[in-house]
Amino acid sequence: MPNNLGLVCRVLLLCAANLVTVCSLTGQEQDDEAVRRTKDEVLKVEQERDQALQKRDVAVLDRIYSDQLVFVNTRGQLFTKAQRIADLGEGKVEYFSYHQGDYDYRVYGDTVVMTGQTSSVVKFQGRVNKIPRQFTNIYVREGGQWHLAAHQATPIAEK
Amino acid sequence: MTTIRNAALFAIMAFGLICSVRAQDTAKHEASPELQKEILAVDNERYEAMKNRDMAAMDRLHADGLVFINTKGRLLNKAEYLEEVRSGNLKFLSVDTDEYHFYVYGDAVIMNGRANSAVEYHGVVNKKPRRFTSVFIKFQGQWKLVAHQATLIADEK
Repeated sequence: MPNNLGLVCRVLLLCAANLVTVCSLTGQEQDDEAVRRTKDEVLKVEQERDQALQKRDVAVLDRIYSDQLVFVNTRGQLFTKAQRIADLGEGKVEYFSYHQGDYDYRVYGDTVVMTGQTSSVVKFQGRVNKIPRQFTNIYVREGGQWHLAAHQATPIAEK
Repeated sequence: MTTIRNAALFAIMAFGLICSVRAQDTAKHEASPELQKEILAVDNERYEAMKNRDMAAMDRLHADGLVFINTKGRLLNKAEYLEEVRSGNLKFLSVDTDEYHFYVYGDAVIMNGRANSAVEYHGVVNKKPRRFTSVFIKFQGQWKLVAHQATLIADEK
């Protein structure tokens, strides 16, 4: 009888250990799943932004840009949301071609650091820029919506 | 006549309410003076750690997922960035920054500013003015740099 009791205890302990492992794995999978979902959501907003920039659709950009947007272009000029939207609306920014990719994401809850490269051809202040550049986009979730809070681009120097 | 006056009054009140909500939306991202001081103190700690090549402090002040983009458009992760500092390839000869703006989004602070600091990178000294954006996030009571990007200001020499 004592032998049977020992066996039952060992089986119960084994079951408990397996349960903890399964719960732990499930938690990890959920975390990974949440991160993957966040990346998908941010990519979708980024693609909407790409389309809006090419079409100069300022209504969509007004929705995507945070009211306190910090926008630094490749010439190191700083623009607010109002300035950026006015420049696009008035045709001061014009895209001739649009290529960007090599995306990477760092997810920190409601903040996502997204990096990428672009070689889009864009005209601004009379200058055409086609130099490859590295950029960072900071997306923040506000009221369930992802907004672009900061963007900065830097020309990639030749090696 | 009274109806028109009431309608006008209602329109003015509604406009005032919309403006007030809009102002609150903008104000909610403004960093308090105390928070601005806190972030600047952390950034100064970073500069001190870089100058002194204090790698323990560098490790503490930078998030594991750091993305650091320098004025040459080169993206460095935390290990690469810390190695540049440790090896002496990246040296801060002087620190000169101004024109700060701070915005808060939950646990994250976006800091934008202008720098004229003298930096030596792989033997080349760069003193050109540049605009930078840094993002700090608080992890278990410690502010850490999660992203930094600098771009030369083209119209200033």
